Amino acid sequence: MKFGKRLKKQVEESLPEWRDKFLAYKRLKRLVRLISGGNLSPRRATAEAAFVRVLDGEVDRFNAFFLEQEEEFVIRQRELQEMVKKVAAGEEAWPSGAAEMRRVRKEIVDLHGEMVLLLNYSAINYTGLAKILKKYDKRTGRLLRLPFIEKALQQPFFATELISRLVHECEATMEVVFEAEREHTGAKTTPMAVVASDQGIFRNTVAALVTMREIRSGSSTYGHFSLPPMAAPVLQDSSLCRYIQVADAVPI
Amino acid sequence: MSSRSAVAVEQITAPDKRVHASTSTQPILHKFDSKLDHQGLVDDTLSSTSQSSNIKIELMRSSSFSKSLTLNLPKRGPEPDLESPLSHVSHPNFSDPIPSNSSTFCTTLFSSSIVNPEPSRQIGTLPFLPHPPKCEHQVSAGQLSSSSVLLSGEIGNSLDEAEHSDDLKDLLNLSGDGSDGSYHGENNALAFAEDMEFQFLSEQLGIAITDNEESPRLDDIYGTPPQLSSLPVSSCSNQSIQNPGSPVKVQLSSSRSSSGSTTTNKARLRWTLELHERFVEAVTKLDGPEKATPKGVLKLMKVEGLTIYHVKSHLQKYRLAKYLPETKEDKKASSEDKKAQSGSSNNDSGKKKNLQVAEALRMQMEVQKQLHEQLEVQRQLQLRIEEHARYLQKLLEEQQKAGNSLSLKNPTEARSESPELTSKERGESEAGANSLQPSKNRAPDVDVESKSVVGNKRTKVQVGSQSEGSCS
Repeated sequence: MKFGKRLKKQVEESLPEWRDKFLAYKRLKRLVRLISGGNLSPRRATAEAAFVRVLDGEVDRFNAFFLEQEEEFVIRQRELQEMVKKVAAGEEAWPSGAAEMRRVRKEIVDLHGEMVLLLNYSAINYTGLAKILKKYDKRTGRLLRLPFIEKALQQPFFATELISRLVHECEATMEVVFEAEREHTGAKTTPMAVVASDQGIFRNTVAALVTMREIRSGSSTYGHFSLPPMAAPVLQDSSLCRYIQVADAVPI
Repeated sequence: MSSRSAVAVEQITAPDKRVHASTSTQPILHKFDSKLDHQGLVDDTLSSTSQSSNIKIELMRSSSFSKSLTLNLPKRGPEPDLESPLSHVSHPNFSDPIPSNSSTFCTTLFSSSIVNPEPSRQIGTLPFLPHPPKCEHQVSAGQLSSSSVLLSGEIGNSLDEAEHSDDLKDLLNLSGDGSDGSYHGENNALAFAEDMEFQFLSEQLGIAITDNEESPRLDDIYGTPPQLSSLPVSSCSNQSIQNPGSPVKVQLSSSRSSSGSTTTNKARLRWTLELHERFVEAVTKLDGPEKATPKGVLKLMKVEGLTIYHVKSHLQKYRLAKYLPETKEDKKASSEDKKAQSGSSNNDSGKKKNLQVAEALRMQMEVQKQLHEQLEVQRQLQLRIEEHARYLQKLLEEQQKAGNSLSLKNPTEARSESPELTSKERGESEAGANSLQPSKNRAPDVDVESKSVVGNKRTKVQVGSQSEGSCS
């Protein structure tokens, strides 16, 4: 499958509000085709300028969306942590606390999931940019890729340190919460049918993993600058595979 | 003219589809509300004068911009008047709030960007401050171009060669802010668009886009002021060194453009944990998010560079975040109570269900963690790849320079040298390097210098050995 198709699939699987926020890869590809097709020099120059402009526009779009999501996550994360503290403190009242706890746990997992998906958003768009720039360079013989990509690397949408940190904090919070849970219920992990608490996020996450693996599984233009194949042992884990299959089967 | 209005009518009848096709609003778009006037007309005219397939495309295009064009209709009248307002773009002209294709702002923003280079530069010099609204320029630009590309793109599938040139023509006309001189000249060249209106339209665009710095824009892209690159870096460090007690300089994100004050002064602020913490403190001091006012919060926070708009939007989000969980909480609490009451007999199944849910959550978490891990790994790799590519590029440039300087002395030598040097940087072995020895006899010093400047140990060693060999 080509990247364009994979991207499209990823977009389809993504959360609804996000669908139009991804890179307009197809559009850019067509533009590149137009550029290389055009013979007339001034026309070509304009088309090339248009390409750069579209790219810039896309990057700005990513930045805006990314920053907005980030802001929301910062807010939610903090609120959740407050909630966790509250629930952990009021743990004596177990029955009602359980409901709270359950809700909090779900919230944390969902927040974590969304944040990771945002990271994935950033990564996929970056990959798309890199690819389209490579195409552009190849077709036009120019050297747009390197400087542009360098700039992209410095853009907010790719500066994902904050989100990463939030994710780690979330994971830590999860540990705390799950510890408490395990204490109370003495839960044993029982294999059972998938009751994904949030179809959208779970499905999207799995799809992202699969897509990533596919994208990195080698291509005709594999070279020095290509990412190596993904090492994802867990994806091969049989139980997880089952979930992946189920996730695919379930309509979004 | 009449044909145009006739076709325009045709388009008017189609808005329902557009409305249905609308997706959620892009977050930036609301900033452009005031700017939608002319370009909307221009755009619609453009598409209306093209082939009928374009009307269909117009639907798809507008759907991607997510705002209904029905509101555009009343404004379709004064097309001939477009020229004058377009020629001197100023804000008052675009104050009518018409949600429409964001592509409409393009021209306005571009022209006004000429007006505001100075303020932008000034703002750009302040630390941490962004180049915000020009990002909006480019967003709209991007959308304009992307809309046109989509236009041509969508056509592209079913059309043949002849129409492909039309696509390009569409594309070029729409994304008219190409290099000015060539653009204007191009207008005539593109007269293979038989459509008179089409040309008229491009002329309008041309006028609107007068003096828009295409080349400076490219410079912006390629030689982006170091401010841009330094900003995100400082953002990272800023997070760690921010002193909560002292008045803090706010971390505003950089976009790749300078701020034009065409839109509201909303810089793209990056809400860090520390900043948000301050915000929450201020809000709690003011008795909670409902009672707190943006102004009050702003004052309490004492953060330089923070505007009331930032605070306002953040407060809104904060309120939502606070009260949504509360309503959820009530619902869940009540449902849980009911379950608990009726649950004594169902205790086991209830517990099992809990376990199931917990298990599902655990699974979900597992997958998410994995994705996160993979993403981090991938990111590191990508960074390293780019670093490597940059390094090689630099190497190439250095060697080309060296090649050029040598060519002054000896053209043939330089020519034979550069390809070998290039192949050297691809990791050729010593053997290859040794073959350079004879040719390097004459100017080993220059080579050594340039190589050491580049700092490639491998090359240095090779050259070193060569020069030693040749100079001995």
